Amino acid sequence: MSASPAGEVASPEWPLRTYKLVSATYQDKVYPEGVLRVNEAGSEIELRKWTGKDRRTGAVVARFNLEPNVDVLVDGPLLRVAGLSITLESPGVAGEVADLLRRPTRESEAVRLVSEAESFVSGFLEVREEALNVLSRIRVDPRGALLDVQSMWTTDDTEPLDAVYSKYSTLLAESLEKMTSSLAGRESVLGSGVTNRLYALAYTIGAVQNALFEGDSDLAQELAALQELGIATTAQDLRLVKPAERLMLRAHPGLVVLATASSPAK
Amino acid sequence: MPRCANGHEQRLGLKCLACGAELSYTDSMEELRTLPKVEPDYGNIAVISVGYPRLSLSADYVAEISIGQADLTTSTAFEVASIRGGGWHDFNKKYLHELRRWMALVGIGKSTDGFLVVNTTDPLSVLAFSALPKLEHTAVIAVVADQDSTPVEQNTSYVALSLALGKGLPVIALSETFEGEMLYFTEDKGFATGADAISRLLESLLSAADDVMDLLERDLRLGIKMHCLSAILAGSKSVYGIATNAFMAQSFNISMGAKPEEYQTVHSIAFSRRESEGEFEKGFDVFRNRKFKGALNAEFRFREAASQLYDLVTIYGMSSDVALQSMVSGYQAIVGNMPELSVEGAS
Repeated sequence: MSASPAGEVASPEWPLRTYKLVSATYQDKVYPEGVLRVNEAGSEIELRKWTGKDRRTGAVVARFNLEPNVDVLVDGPLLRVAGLSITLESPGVAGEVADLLRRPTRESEAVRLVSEAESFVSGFLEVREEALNVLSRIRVDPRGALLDVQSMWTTDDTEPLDAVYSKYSTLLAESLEKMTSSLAGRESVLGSGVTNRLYALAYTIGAVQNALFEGDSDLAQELAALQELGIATTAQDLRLVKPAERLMLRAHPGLVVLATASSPAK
Repeated sequence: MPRCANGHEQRLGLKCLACGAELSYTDSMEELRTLPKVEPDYGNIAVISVGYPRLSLSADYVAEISIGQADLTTSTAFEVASIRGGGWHDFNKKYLHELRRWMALVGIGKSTDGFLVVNTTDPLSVLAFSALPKLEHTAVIAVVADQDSTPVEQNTSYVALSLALGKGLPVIALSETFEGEMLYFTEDKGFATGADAISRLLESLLSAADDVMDLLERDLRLGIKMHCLSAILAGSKSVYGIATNAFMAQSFNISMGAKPEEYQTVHSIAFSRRESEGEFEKGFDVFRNRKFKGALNAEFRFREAASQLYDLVTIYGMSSDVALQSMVSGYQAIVGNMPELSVEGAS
């Protein structure tokens, strides 16, 4: 937390909300009237007291940049945050301000949980992409490709190609299991909307992988499905290396928005 | 496939196109565990040379098994470091497992037709045949030791050839002497000898690979595994006159000596312009009636070629003993001193 005594709130990208306060206490000094201004990101607050005869001129008493994990306590109309005690007009208003101030915490938690869940989805998709790349190579240059992955062939009584299938089958089963249990474990926090979206994303990227493997020329259905998931891309772009990784990166902001929006307020 | 709460299935998307309900993907994820089956393309013709570096061949797949400076494995080469004082037995002991593994990885036997071009006097020839699985549609073109070869060469060649025959592979044998004296004319490079001559002969044989394999497999059904050959490459009417003369002339330089009665089948393949087909066919009839009347089977195949010059290759089926007999004395002399250098020692 940082505080500065004067000047305007310097976050032009976020609009400010202004709340009339009944009283405020800051550094043992009581301010009987004034306003509390909070930016909509919930990251900055400003306490202003009235000055002048008309009681319309505001002087900044304190301004804080709040850390995302700052404690916000509500007791009826009383709100306590960062050494500041403010009595607002009603418990409802105090709750609204508290909710706003908790937004960075919620967002940071949502980003963390989404990122964790995404890493398991990516893990599965990357194993699958690697497997399909190897199989594509085997299809056109079986000798060179099988020599390159010969470490997967550990028992002489099987065919090298069968060993490749067997190895990737095991790896895919493991990574899919990790992915599904990770999503199941986070569903209560992220919300089913986010986990369903992650499943849809994984499945759609899997469909892109299949289409690329089969050499589908236009990828029209897959592109439309990605568009629906908020990912704008082109067929040429999908044919570049590591499409799964790039698509997951592009899906991330949308997933964070979804997670933040669906995350319950505390 | 994802489905909505009302049971409608849909390939992709977020909402069901039939009822507008949200699609659920949870139960569809297992589908992504299944990988598509691939049918690797191993090509039609694969040629692996053993102890025969520098062959210039055109085929879907060409690889070499040879002795070099160091152990090196690529998709087209299995090269082993030379073993000081080492013979075939030493290479077998050291590299058999590794070569079997390499052969499986490069899909030996998975092309439509396979040819092994083997110098059977090279110690790696025994290793190659020891490592080779039982294969179909695979033939061996082998340079074999003869009476002029050293006992060590005869021993190696005898063991290698015995292993090849034991695995049921048809063999076209060229004696070391025949191979050393091979001289062919090529339209683009003039006269070819040594490896160039072998390459030129193989060029013709491989261009008719399916005919060659068909003829060899027909002979196999008659119990004939061993063959020799004679060839005129870049022949012309101005040199040989009528086709019958060409057939007769090439039969005087056969790749392994045998008495005429020891040839059990005779097959010729002519590579020439289409208008000569009839003449070659008649020539072949005269040739076999005159020289191989008692042959169990005789077939003629024609391959159209663009050149004014023609190639004529004749393959003779014979008893396996003929080739082995020419080197049995050297083989036995070595086995007398070193029993492990017997055919049994390699199997």
